[in-house]
Amino acid sequence: MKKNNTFDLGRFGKYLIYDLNNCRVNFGISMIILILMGIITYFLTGISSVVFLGKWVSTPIMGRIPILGLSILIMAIAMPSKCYGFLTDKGLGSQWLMLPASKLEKFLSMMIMTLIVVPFLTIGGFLLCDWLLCIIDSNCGQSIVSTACNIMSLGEIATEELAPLFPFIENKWILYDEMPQMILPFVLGAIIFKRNKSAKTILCLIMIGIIVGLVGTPLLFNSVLDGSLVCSSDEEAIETITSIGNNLILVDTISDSIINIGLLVAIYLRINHLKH
Amino acid sequence: MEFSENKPIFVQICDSVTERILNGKLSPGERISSVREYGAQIGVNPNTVMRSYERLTAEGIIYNKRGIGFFIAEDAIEKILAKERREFLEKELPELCKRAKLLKIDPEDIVRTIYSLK
Amino acid sequence: MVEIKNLGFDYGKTPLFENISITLTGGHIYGLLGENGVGKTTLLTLLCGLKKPKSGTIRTDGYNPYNREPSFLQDQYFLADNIPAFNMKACDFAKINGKFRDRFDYEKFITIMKEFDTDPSFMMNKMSYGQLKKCYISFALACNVKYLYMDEPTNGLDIPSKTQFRSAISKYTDEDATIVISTHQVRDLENIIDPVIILDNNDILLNASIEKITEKLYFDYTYSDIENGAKILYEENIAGSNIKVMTNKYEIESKVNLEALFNAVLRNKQFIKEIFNK
Repeated sequence: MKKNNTFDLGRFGKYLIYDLNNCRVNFGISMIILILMGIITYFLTGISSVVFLGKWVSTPIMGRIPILGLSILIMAIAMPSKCYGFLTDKGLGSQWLMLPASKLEKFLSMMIMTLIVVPFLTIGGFLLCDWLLCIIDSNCGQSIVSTACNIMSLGEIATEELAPLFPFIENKWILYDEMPQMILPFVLGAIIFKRNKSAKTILCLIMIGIIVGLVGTPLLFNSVLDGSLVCSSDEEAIETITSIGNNLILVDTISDSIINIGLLVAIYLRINHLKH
Repeated sequence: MEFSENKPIFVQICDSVTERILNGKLSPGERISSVREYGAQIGVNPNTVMRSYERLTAEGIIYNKRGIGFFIAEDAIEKILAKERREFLEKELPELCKRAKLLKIDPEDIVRTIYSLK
Repeated sequence: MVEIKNLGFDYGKTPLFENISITLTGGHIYGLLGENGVGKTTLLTLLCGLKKPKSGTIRTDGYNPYNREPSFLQDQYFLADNIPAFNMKACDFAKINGKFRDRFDYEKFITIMKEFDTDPSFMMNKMSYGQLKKCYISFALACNVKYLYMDEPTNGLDIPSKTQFRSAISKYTDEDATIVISTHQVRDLENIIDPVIILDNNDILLNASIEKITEKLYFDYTYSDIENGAKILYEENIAGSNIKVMTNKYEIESKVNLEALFNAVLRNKQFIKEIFNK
């Protein structure tokens, strides 16, 4: 029975397992470290507080959430080049290109690994460790997970402290929206640049940010910049500011989708036209 | 297998097979290695071995049983001897005589030597 | 069948291939000979789809290699000169990578490794280059592919291993397979390749079976000065052995010496083309 050359479930399954193994070998240990970051910083905080303050201080939730953010950031930057950086290497890349799986299957697997599997495992693992930590040491207070659940379901009053959690709670889709935007550029960088992949990607992002800022700011805030914006009353001022704000949200939403789609297309094309 | 340089490889393979038939290492009716097996044994391209086998088949020394392999003909020894005798009489002997003539050797001496070597 | 039509390729300004056309058919072990830098590796990478031709087409059983369709990749294996060593056992490497090719035979891999005197449970990144090469060669043969491309496979092998290699190529490849082996160590492939393709700058100087070569050329290993009007294309006298390559005026079949043939072809490019294309 002739298999479909674009997508075959059996073959895709085999390739997915192969890719899982590949990511495990290349990023497994790093991922475990990132998952344990919370516990590591807990001990570091505790030990240094014993040394400097004379008593053991357990990291409160406000201390642990930024660590989660840091873990996610490091994962987004390091994971793509560790897992897929080998594509630019002549020997390893050639072998990968010659592996009998379709381009679509290879691409889908890469996306599943970088956008779903590794992020979920890292974040999930971290939250699990955090939850276990809170059970073992009640001085930590509530775990991140239960705090978030409480706010979402019971509408508990969120204190100032928990501000960082707001975006996640308001927009559940942030993982599908912002996360790809964080990770995909580094995936693209991993398969384009030969050396110093992450560093070069960051440089590119900065440059693009500068250019977009230089070009976009006048476009969006033209009326503000050239001083022609004159508001006769407070209400008008509020209206104007609100509309500018809405424009920004619109631009943000559209650009998110465009950027994500653009990155996906760029990655797909790069894989297809990779030559050794 | 070491190959000398005076004959093409496929001829040397034929010679090796006929030699082994003559000295009893291969018996009439016996199956010989397949083209690939033999090629692998001596490090030679299967096509070359195939040419040897084709020549040996044409000379009636071996025959091919489709799907089973190559076998040594029952009358292989006779055929080989006949062929070699022919070659001796048609090629080697005239060469010898030419050389003897050049060296001005008396034919009587040659005959006497032949008998004494028997 | 591999059909190469008007192939053109370059790495920038100077062209490597210009208008090369050649057909490769099954059941042959092609030897791709040529000096270093002439384009052997490039040709092989074009054939397997790692590179894209700048002009012309390559079609293997109708597939365009550069499209890298799985059903095409399945039937093909490219053994590069530059082989990565993984942090895993050779047998595990074979098991993991063999899953993607339907005709992969794990037992065959183990058998060939044994014949190469290489332990399959050895870690690849602890192997010597020669052992690693043998590991890849065993894997390549165990894949039972229809198109096998090998770039300098004897590089890094010691002399007994080269003999084992020749034997393995003869024994473990499919009758109908198309095998292309490139090398600049012509002697390593003596007696095992047929037809012979000789590549030169921009050009294919020769593409002929051993039979045809012995038809057109005569290899004389004696010291006789008799030429009988035959044109001597190449003569070499090294350490007591003599070899002359000349036109085969009397149509006598002789044993081909690949190195002498190679030198003869390089020194008489136009002449060789004429006598072989008649």
